[in-house]
Amino acid sequence: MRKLSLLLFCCFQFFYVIAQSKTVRGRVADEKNNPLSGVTVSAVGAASKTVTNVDGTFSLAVPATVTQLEFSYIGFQTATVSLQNIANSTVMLASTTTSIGEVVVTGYTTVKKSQYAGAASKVTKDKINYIPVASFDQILQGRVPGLLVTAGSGQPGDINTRVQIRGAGSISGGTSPLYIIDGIPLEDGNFRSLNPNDFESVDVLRDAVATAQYGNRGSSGVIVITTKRGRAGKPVLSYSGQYGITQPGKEKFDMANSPELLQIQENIGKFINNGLPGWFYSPNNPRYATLPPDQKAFADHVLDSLRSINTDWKDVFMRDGNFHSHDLNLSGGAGNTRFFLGAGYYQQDGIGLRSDLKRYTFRANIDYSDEKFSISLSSGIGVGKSNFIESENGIALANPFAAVYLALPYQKLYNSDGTVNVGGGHTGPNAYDRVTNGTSLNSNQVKANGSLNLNYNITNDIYVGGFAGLDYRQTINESSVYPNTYTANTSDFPTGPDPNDPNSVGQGSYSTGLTNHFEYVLRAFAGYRKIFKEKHDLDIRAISEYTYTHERGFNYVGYGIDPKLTNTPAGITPGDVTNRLIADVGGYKTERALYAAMVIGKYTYDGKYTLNASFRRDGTSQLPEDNRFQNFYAAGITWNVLKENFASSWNNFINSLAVRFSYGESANADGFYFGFFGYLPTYGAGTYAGFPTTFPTNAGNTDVTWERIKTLNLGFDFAFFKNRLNGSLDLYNKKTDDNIITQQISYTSGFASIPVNAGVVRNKGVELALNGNIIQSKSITWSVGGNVAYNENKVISLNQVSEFEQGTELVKVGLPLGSHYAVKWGGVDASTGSPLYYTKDGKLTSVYSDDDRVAEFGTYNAPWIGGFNTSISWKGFSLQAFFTFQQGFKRFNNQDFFQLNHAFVLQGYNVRRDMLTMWQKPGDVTNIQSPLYQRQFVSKDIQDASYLRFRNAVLAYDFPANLLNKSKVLTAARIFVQGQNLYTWTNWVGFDPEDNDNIAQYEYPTPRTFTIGVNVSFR
Amino acid sequence: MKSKYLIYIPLLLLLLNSCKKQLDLAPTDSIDATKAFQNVSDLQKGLYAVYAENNNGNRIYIASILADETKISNENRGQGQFTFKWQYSGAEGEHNAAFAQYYNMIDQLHRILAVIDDIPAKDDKETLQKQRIKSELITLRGIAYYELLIEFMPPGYDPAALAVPIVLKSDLLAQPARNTVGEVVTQIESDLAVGRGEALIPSGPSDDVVRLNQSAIAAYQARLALLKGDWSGAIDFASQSIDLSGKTLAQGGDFLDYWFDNNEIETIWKYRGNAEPQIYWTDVNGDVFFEPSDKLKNQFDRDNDIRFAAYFTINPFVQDTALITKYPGSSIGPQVNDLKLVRLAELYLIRAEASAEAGDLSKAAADINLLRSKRITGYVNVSFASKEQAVEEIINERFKELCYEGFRFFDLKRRKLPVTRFASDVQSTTWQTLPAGDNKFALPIPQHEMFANKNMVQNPGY
Repeated sequence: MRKLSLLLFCCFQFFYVIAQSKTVRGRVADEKNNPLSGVTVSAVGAASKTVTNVDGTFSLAVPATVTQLEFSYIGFQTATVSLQNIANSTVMLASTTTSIGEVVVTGYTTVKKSQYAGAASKVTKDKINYIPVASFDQILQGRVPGLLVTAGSGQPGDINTRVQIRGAGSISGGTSPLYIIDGIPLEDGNFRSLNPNDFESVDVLRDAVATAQYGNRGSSGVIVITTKRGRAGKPVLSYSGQYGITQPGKEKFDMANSPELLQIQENIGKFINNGLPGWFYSPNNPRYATLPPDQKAFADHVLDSLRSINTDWKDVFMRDGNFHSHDLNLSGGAGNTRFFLGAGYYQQDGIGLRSDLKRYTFRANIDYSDEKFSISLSSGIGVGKSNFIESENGIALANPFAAVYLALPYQKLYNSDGTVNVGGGHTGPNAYDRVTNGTSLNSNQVKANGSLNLNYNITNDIYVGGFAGLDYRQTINESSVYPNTYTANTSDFPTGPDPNDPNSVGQGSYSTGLTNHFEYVLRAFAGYRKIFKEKHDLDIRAISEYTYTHERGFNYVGYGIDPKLTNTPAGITPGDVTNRLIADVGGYKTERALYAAMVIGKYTYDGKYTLNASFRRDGTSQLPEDNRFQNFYAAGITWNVLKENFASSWNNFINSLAVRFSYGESANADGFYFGFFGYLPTYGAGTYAGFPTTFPTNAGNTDVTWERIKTLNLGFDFAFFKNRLNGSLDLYNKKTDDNIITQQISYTSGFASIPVNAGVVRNKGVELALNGNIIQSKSITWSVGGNVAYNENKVISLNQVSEFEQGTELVKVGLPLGSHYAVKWGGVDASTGSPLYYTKDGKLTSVYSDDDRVAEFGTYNAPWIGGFNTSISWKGFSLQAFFTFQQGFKRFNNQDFFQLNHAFVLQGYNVRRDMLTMWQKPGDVTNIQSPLYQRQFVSKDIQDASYLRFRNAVLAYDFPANLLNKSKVLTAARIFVQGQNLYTWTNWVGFDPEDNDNIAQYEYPTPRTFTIGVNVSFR
Repeated sequence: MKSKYLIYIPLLLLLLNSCKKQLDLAPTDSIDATKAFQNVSDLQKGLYAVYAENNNGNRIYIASILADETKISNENRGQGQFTFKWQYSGAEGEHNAAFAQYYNMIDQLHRILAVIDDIPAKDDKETLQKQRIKSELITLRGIAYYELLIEFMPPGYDPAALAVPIVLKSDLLAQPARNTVGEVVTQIESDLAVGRGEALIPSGPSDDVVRLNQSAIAAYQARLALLKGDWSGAIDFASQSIDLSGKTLAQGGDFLDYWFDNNEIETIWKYRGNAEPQIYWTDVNGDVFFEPSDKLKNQFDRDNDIRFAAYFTINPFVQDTALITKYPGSSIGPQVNDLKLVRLAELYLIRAEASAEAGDLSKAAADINLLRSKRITGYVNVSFASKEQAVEEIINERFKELCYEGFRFFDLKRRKLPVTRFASDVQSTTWQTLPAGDNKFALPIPQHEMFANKNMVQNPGY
């Protein structure tokens, strides 16, 4: 009751304030005089504010003292206009062209960039929409300084993309940024069911002030997606469609053809007797001399006929695929309500047999706002269905992209009777039969996310609100080995034949795996916003937030598939002791909760100086109770230099200049390498000899605590020459303290390691973004832009040790993370053909030893990254080109190990043409050793993967308005042709220098895509 | 008036407080360590987990490739080659994997021993169960230390030489130093004696072939005595083990069937973890990594010795190539076989060797003749002319009878003999001979341990 009276009292106060005011009316429109609804209109120097209606009109009661109104809207420059210029006329807002006038979306709110000390960049929809790539993270590559994006696969629907902002901050833990869509945290990596064509913009937040609201999860940066929202007015229906093809690129190495491979087999046979045809039938084989003439003739004939067969396995396993996508949007609004509805369909065939992605997406965003209330509902649902190849990226014959290169050119795909030429050692035909006939692998993903944001203005200055959002994903992976196929018949029991029954055939298998991710976030907030005496602008907000994550999954594999009931669980034969077709089942579930309470504030003095500050207290269930809660803070200042008196004369050539400085801490709640409960000592259940067992599974460490990432940032935003040249420069030093690493402990403890907070990693670097409008005339414009970032990553301390191995990398104080670790290659001894290696002391030796490994071959984290673009438009035509690059990084070329290795010839695989240069006699100078010596992984396999890629080009034509007006159907129409991944400049001798990890195996190569498309809006 | 909005602050605090409890989540898929052992049934589960660690597969593999039992096949892509060529170092590999494995086993049993006395027994039956579990765990510790001892001690038997650290409780942060061979032997003897003194442990493998029995424990006592050169002890323990086992030597079809796990005729104790021993020497796709050595094949009378047919499969198409088929698969799976931890034949060989060393050549011959008569059709008994001849023949009989069971390399090591391979079994003379007493007989302490334990010292030569 008391509360109610309080509320009534404050309402009374509110009306009392209005009673002393005057009312301003007006209309807001864009440069083309289209009404803009939802524009925030606020009184300068007072708290009154409102938003424009669907027709762009507004009416605002302001205190008598007010002389100016401020208009702000996403994607447009904020304008401050005096009252006499407004009175009942239209205020035109200019769309954003310069960086300094932008607003930054930090998740819960938008901030004017001129009053923001954080390091943040925005990618607008024109760079995101209608790119023929399924996963939006790949689209961001090269668009933002300091954002490293490397795709791990060209398979449609694949999720192996590595994204890093400002280098790797954690030694063993996660380094992926946090993704937010309309305020909802998104599960990392699973983006194939999101439609990037629904995105209005993406903000990339890079320092502690920028990520303050997400401080518990934001240490690796935050990527904030804002989806499209309705625009007021009559509903506008628009359609966008694209059609095209995807094609394989060209690899930069040559495999041996049949005569060459037979020659290589013979060369090896001189050292190692073998049954391969190139040696077995060779006239140089001592066996040959002992043969009678008819068998000699037979041997010659066999070799001749094998030489004449040249199967192009690339042709067999790769294809041109179709691509098309369709998007239908309806946007509009009436009264205080606006809506955006979108439906999308995306279909892409992979360049590998069988692989494809079909995606169906729907989005509905609804906004309501009046003087008191604003409500935003955002919702999206997507279904992504993919067929995949098997063993993608794996060194396995089931991987078609391995089989392409391992298959023998002198083997035919088909027998003379038209059946596939399967059999022992028939790598190519077996893999082909496996992918086309023997197996299936598909993945069905449903992803839904939705949020509701409520805001209530208690007074002009004080507001409260709440937010609820959820992210849900379910993925069902299904795979089959079809019964009585070559694949099944050569598999182990129970997929394969019963060893106890010589007449049995492979009965196949069917498996389903389901994984489920569910996360919700609840926020309550209260804020205070006021401008005092026209010069003091204060905005402060307290937020309390609870996040809960649940992961679960299960899988089963059933056997004994009925040939008439394939690819369904119905075909599984129930297992029993007699048929021994016992199904395998497994699964897991786990959960995590985060709690945060924070205060985030902004104070601006006279438009010149802004202070951003935040303080937060974070807790997570992933840490032991005593260490669960920790405090983090961040602060930054911005100085708008041009607002100073001394700079008033600079206007002639400097249009804006701001200096930003920030420092703060954030945490890495998503990056605990040990998962949700890794701190806890635990036991697991198992079985031995039919008896249940209990055994220790995790050593844990109940002293472990948060990793702390401290970022120092100094930034400059500038615009010169009437904004023709603008950009920003950021310098940063990002230091991760208390890195959670595995401390190796004595084996006598029963464990090899425990997690401890030890170790410091530093990333420091420079980021530069520049945009220039070179020609800006009525009929023609030409602009260029680009960004480049340099990051120096270094391990500063590992506490008790100076180095440790992590996979094939060495983590060592003074070196960057991801440093390759191998024995240095010393060439081939010309007299003996023996491989030579350098010992740790730099001496040449012919004996390989792991102990001689050194870490002097660089890292796979590229220090230099960036992208640049140019666009020219003339009348309705426009041409855009976009390039990305990564420079100065090295990767392990595992393909070299396989394709330049006599052992794989002996096992009956094809190798590279270069194997012809193998050492054969004393005096041969070559880099390929005699087959008498085992091939080792050495430094020559670590190769420079720097590249420059012509990533995207679009040629478009926009039909002129006067023409469209005549048609009376369309309001806008554009046709375009687009190419993606057009060309790559690199010295890398492999398929694709770009990858998400340190080693090149048999990845699915990134395709080249060409499309034609239209965008139209209906009247 | 603004102060009125302070009402929201307690509301926020309330939310904060309730959320603190929300962070108290516990794992659903694993057991909190403090709740792992709460009753006798849990102890039983813990005991079987310790048995599950006692997998001698690694010893079976490395003893075969370190010694002269195998040769590298053409289809080998590098598997086991460093070990075969004695090029190993402290870097982790199959050659020193036992270190982590058996300390893991020791830690597990210590975790149970630490709580077992506090766990209540519901009735008398449970009290007895607890008693037996405790004695078994202590005995298993002795067995784990025996495995560690023979791998990491220097060749021969020097009680003052460094063996492995003796750890007697679970401690995550311990950095124990190495104890001497003598100290470790004393520890093993004391642990095995606990088992021998436990009346609840049955005499032979009557009820459960995967669980310890007196015969099996006596077998380890006999092995240890043989290692020490305590010949009378070895004879006594071997005799006890034979008598307690209730087993007899197999012959004919029973012997062939034995390797398919169709019977337990010679089994005193075994490991049954769905092990796939065949894949030590052969890839799952059929590629052969290691073939039987010519040296070993040549030891056998191929026509009359049933062991040749039981242990090898000769490829009829390629001249004198063969596969190791001592583990041919079983009814459980095509590659699945139980691993024999203690088999009767070994005890006759231990007794024969100890008898010969003790000078009782006729007793030695009697054991050898008994074993051979079961294996060889038309066998004619032999007698030994000298101790040297007897020992040599017995060691060679061990080579033949116990090949691919994890003994050969350690027999050569304990007797300070060299590894000598046939020229046809190696591509280079560099790895044809490992001289007697070479440093490489003492396997290197894993690099990881050297790194993590500042009190650890490496074996010489690494």
